[in-house]
Amino acid sequence: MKYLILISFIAFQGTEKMVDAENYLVQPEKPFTATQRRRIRRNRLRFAKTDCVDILCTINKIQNKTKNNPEQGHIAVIENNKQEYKVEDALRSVVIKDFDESILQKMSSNEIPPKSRDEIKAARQAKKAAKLKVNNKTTENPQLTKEIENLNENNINSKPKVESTDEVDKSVVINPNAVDISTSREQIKADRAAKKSAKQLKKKGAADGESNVQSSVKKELKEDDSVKQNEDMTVKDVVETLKNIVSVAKEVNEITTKVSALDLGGKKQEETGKSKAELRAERRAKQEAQRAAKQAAEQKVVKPKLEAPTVNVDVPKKEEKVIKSKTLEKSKTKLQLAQRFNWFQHLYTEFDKNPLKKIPINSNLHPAIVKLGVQLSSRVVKGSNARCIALLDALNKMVRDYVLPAKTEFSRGLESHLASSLEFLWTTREPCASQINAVKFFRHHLAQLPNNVDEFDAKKTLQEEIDRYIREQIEMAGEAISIAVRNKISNGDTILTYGCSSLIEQILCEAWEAGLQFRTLVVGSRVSPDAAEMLRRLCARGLPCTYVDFTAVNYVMKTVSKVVLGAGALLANGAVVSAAGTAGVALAARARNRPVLVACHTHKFIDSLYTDAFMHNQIGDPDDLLEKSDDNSPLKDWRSNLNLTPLNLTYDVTPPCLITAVVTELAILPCTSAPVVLRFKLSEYGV
Amino acid sequence: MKILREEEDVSAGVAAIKTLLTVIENYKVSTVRELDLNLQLAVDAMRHCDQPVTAISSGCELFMRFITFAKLDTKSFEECEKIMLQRGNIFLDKLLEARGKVAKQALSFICDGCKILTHSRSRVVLQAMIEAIKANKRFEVFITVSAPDNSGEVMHKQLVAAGVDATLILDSAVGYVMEQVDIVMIGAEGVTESGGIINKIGTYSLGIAALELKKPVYVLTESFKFSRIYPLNQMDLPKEFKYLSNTLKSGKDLSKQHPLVDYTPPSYITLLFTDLGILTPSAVSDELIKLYL
Repeated sequence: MKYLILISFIAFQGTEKMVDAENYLVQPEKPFTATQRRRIRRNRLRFAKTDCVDILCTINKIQNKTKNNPEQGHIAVIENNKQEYKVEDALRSVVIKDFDESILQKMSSNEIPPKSRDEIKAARQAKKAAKLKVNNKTTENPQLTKEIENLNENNINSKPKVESTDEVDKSVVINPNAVDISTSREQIKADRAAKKSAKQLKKKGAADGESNVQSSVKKELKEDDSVKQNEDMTVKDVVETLKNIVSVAKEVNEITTKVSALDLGGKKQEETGKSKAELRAERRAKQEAQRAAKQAAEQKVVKPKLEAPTVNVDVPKKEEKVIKSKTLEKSKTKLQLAQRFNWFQHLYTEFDKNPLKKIPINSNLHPAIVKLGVQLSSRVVKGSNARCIALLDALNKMVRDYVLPAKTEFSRGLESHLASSLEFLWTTREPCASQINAVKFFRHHLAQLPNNVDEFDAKKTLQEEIDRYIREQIEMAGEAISIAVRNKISNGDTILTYGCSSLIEQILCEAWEAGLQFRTLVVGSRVSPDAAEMLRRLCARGLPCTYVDFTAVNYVMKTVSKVVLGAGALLANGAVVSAAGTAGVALAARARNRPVLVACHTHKFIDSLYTDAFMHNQIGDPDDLLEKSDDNSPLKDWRSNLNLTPLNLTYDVTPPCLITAVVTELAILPCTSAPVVLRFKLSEYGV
Repeated sequence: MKILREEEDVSAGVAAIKTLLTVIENYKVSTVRELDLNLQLAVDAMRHCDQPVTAISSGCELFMRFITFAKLDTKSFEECEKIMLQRGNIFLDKLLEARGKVAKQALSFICDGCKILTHSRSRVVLQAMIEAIKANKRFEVFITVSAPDNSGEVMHKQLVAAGVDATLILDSAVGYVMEQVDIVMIGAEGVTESGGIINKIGTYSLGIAALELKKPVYVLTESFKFSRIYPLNQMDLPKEFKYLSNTLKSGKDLSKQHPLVDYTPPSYITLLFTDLGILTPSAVSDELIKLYL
């Protein structure tokens, strides 16, 4: 009992100072032994399919926040089961209310007091107890228990310091990102409301006890998320919350059974290292926190258990489907995966639609970077210009909000921060040439900052450079290119273009608005909706345009006078990397001797050289190749067929012999002059 | 201004530059801007005369860039003018030397007993052949008549006078003769950014026949003929190049008029001999960027 109390104390500590990222799950002084690790692993494997640890995990999350970013502080060790989110939501909305009050009030400052031997012992005991109680828990159990242990320790230590450190904690907590402050305020309010309701529920008694416990647990988790808890804990409350934890565990079991129906598949148990689980838990915790914060004010405890799962089912249903395919994919053995993409092993990374799980445990990624990662991965932001501008924008925000740690040189600190951010971003989607060059440019200017530069000045300089890059290299270059191509378009022309390019759209629309009379032919493919989007945009501006599928391009080529294409990148030998299908269009144009113009900003010129589309490419979503409206499509169950793999390549390479001219803001050049431009840029800009 | 153009020995481009120099010398102005204006006016006037415009326009543009390079440095206008004149003279001298340089480079490509096919009248090619004769090389030359102005006949006369074994052939006989020749050597009125050339009408057909029969095509030209235009096809050539200014002014239907020049794309050209060196067509744009940027 004592230990339970201790656990609850610990559980409801504010956690900001609690955890060092590395030791987040473990008492800092005592890492797991080999046996313990084995046990943990075994448990994880065994409990792969249950969700119920969410609550506990969320507790963990809340407890073990990292310093800087409360939003990401909910790094939890929860396995990457998306149903957990639902469960968490359910649990949160349902359960925590009662819990909240008591817990939150007990919560002392967010400090992590130093751990004593007693605390460690207590933690271990608590861990054992928790393990016994939670039978069907998922693999997070051990982590939870660790959490609980940590909480215990914190509780023990924080108790005496409750009063004194509150103020300090408050002030400390409020310091990090301004972004977080606003959200956390809302969260605080939500938490307070939740707390009140939890208190009231608690008073109602044991009838609602379990549900309340869960809701309160959830609330508490929410509270923790906001990182602003500075509640006082009393022993009584601690006891109660400990009891609640026990009941919560039971609840979790029940909910797990309900949710297991939704649970679609095995997690990647064989692959889950701690880090992966942590990543997933982190991500889920984050999402949960945000969702819970929203729901906190509104939801009441009535029938929480039953409602929550259903509510949550609807909301993440889409996610489910994605998760479904993902988990299905993941569940295959690695050997199978290798067999599927024989020629493209070097390109093949799992087509992963959810990047948030890749966030490392204690990352202090700027939210703008995370947002960009999600946008890139879900293809919301696409097109080389858009991606470049979005990246620079995110970098701008990152620079603006960057807090220089003590005794660090600005450029070095920011460089390492940048490196970790970019690492994350490139896992969401591989960088395109414009992004690579933008980063190169940024790094160049970062390196050029003088050593003793004042932080404010440095930030200002960097931000100005970024703005200038966007203005000069992208916007003004686009205008120059537009004018140059306009000179090549004569009245009565028919211009053919492929796919969607923001630059081509700009060129054609401006030429049209300047009074030139020409027709446009947009060629598209069934696989990607880009060309339809291009058609839509052109028609909206009043251009007369026609849409043809790629299969008809040879047929219509005789009516075309010029072909204008966009580019993703221009290689050193003059080859053009662009959306898959561009090379075919250029070939068809060549066969009929039609001039092919490629419009390309100079910031897309890259130094590398490859002659085919196999060396470097990106694999897109294989499901895009399916005919969505056809229910009897033979490709529908391609996953179950080991001998069938839809391959959806994103880019292709057009050789320079097929291209008549490249239009850049410097001049209209033959393709083979690409190295000249690179040299010129190097001498002009140093990058 | 137009008096200078009567000189036969001088190409239109050189004459134009000489004209511009005299403009700077004679027309006293007090500001740089006025000088600029004057020069622009002179260039426009020359464009409207009856000479082919290609070389004139490119030469003038390069001249302007060259002399104005130094403009901003000096304080007083007189100094500025002096410097510009100096630079202009340097430019002109370079031009006059250019032809000699090109001819020397082409010398090593004319071997004993080879047969050369050339088109229309080009002073650079003429000079190259005269140099070859002086170097005691034996070779035969086929020269096309190149209607409508029959400038090939003039070239033929000059070649014979210099002691070259020259044969006059019809334009339409190019395909027939091509299998007998070893190399094709032509001049150019203008070199485009793509690496192709603008030359007397009929050059394009010559290039196509040479490519088909695997004969190398060498273009002899001075560097001031490099221009920044990038034609995508024959229709894309600027009108001022194709037709005389008289024709343009008279308002006749241009599609019925005979163009003076045509555009030979870079894929038909093997090498360009210039005073900047022997270049491949793809290197032209590199040189152009160096000249203009």
